[in-house]
Amino acid sequence: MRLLYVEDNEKLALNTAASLRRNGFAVDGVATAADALHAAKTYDYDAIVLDLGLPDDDGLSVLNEIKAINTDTPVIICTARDALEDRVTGLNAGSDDYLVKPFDVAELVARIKAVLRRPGGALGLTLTAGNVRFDTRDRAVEVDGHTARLARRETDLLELFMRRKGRVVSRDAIENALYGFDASPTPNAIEVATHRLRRKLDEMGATVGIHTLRGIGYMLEDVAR
Amino acid sequence: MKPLSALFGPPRSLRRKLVINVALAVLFCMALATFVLLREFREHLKENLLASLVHEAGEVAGIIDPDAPDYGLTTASMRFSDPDGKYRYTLFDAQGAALAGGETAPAIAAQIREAPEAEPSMIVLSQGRLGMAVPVELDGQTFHVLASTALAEPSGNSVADLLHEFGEEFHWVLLGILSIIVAAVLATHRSLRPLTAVSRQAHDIGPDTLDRRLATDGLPAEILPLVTAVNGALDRIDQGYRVLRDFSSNVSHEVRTPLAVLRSTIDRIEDATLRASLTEDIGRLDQMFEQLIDLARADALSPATFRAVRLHDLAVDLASEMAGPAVRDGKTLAVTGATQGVAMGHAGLLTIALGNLVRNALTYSPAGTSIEIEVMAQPAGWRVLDRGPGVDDGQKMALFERFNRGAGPAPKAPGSGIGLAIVKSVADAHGAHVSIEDRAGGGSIFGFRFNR
Repeated sequence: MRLLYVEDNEKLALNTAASLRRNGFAVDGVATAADALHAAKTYDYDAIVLDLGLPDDDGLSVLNEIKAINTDTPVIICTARDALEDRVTGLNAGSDDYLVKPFDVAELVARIKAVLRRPGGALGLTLTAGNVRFDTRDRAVEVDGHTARLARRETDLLELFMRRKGRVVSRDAIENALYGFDASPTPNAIEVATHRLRRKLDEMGATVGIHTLRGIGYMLEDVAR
Repeated sequence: MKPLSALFGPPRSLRRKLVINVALAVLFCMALATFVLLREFREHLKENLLASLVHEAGEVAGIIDPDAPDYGLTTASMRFSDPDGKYRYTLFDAQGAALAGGETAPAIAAQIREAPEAEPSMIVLSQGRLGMAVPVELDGQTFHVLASTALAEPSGNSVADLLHEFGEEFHWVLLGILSIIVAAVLATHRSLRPLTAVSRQAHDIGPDTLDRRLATDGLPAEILPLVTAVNGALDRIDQGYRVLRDFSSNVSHEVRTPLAVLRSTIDRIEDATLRASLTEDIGRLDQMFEQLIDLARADALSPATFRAVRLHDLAVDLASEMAGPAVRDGKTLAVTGATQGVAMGHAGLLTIALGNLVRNALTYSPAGTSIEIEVMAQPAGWRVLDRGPGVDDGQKMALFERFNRGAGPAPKAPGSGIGLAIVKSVADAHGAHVSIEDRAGGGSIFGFRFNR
């Protein structure tokens, strides 16, 4: 798993790259927009972590150029919070995810893993959350080593939740992922599917559970057993 | 009185002053013209009178016969004396002795004696009346014929007539005065109208819009220097402010970077206990620093940067961000209420304000409880409802002061004590209102309400 890490602060780059390597990634670090573009053209990275505050160019135009070179490469943007407010539209358009500085490396690692597992990435992967394993190649689900019998929609739903573990998945996101843009589900189809999936996970003794956040969405998170 | 002040402008306004001054000037001109006219008129009347007296005295002189009784003058006739028996004509010899008729007195006699023998002269009679004495040369003897005015003052009547005439035509004069005033008001109104636009432009100039300037198009030449000078002042303020803003943006960048480096270094520490403790410390430092920047930004916020903000979407986005940590703490979030509310504002700072209210509620709420964000459309705003310990009445508004943390059961709660002060600053910048109420069944309700 090879990453391009674009950050102009030498010491920060050194530390973060070291932490990423410890988490099993191969990391190429560059400090300027020009180097970042050159690297992105030279090698097909699995993911790119891009700091927007670069000395030689605006980070958003770098993002656009990277996306022009290779649409499939996931890009995670790192930016200061007040810069973020002005750029939310740009980020939503171009990047796969963004992180607000300052962040913990653990959070960065989690985000990188999440974007790597997206369908855009060609790699077959096994997702894990607690004692639940999800094989993206044959879409098989295991809870605590036992095969779970899930309907197709429940499987899709679980994949969506596992890719965004610890973060809110909105009803809109579920609708788009499960039903696409043309076919709209019956009013409570999502509730029903979520309810069934939650019950099956509970019955099989999963250490993760689905939380309902009224008016906001759903979230997969560890549960104390 | 409303329409009157619409025409004449409010007290101390340029328009009102102009109207008053123009009205006074017009009235003064009218009075002056009347006075001059009256004086000319009286002068004219007097000249006419004296000329007719000379004429009459000449006629009388023509019928004098020194040999006839009473010098040929019928002194008893109506023409010779008026109905009250006063003599209109009197004949004097050169020494001032009255020969016929009775208008005489020592003062008159003295004036007759002094009168020249070749031309008529004016004689002042009793009671301010006038007369004209005309010298006549008959048989080598000099006589003076005095024609006197009647007792009544004829010119007074004529002046009264004139004034009466003037009064009848006065509405035309009034029309003239009114048209002058209306012209003056219109002229001021039209030349001051560009000022309204300039005021509006000035209203929109704030720290975020310091590059704007007041338009000078169509301004009266007298006001142009003021506006130009204000624009010049704005240039200088803009320049100074830019230096300051660059400074604070540089400072925030300069401080953030070492904080981020420090954090990344801490992430590499092998000792998990030490790492967790240091991470917590640096988190607090980050939060404090970010909040100070928030506070400075909220204080400098200008309405010119406001856009329509969908209150429900903002609440859901915020709640999605905050739900992860909340759930891991055993608490849950909910967004309820209206989905339609819209308010004008700065989305970034409103997110920070609502986020601070939610973070505050999460901090003070026990595990197992839910924090609810209720979106309100009429009036627009949010309410954050918690099941925390509640706030003492005496503490309620003091909580929104800077560096004031609520006393109570959570003394070790994280936070710098400016989270709610930021909420207050953001609310003030939006003309919004913050409130704390007790919640039925325990807990608090923090409100953030936009004014209409």
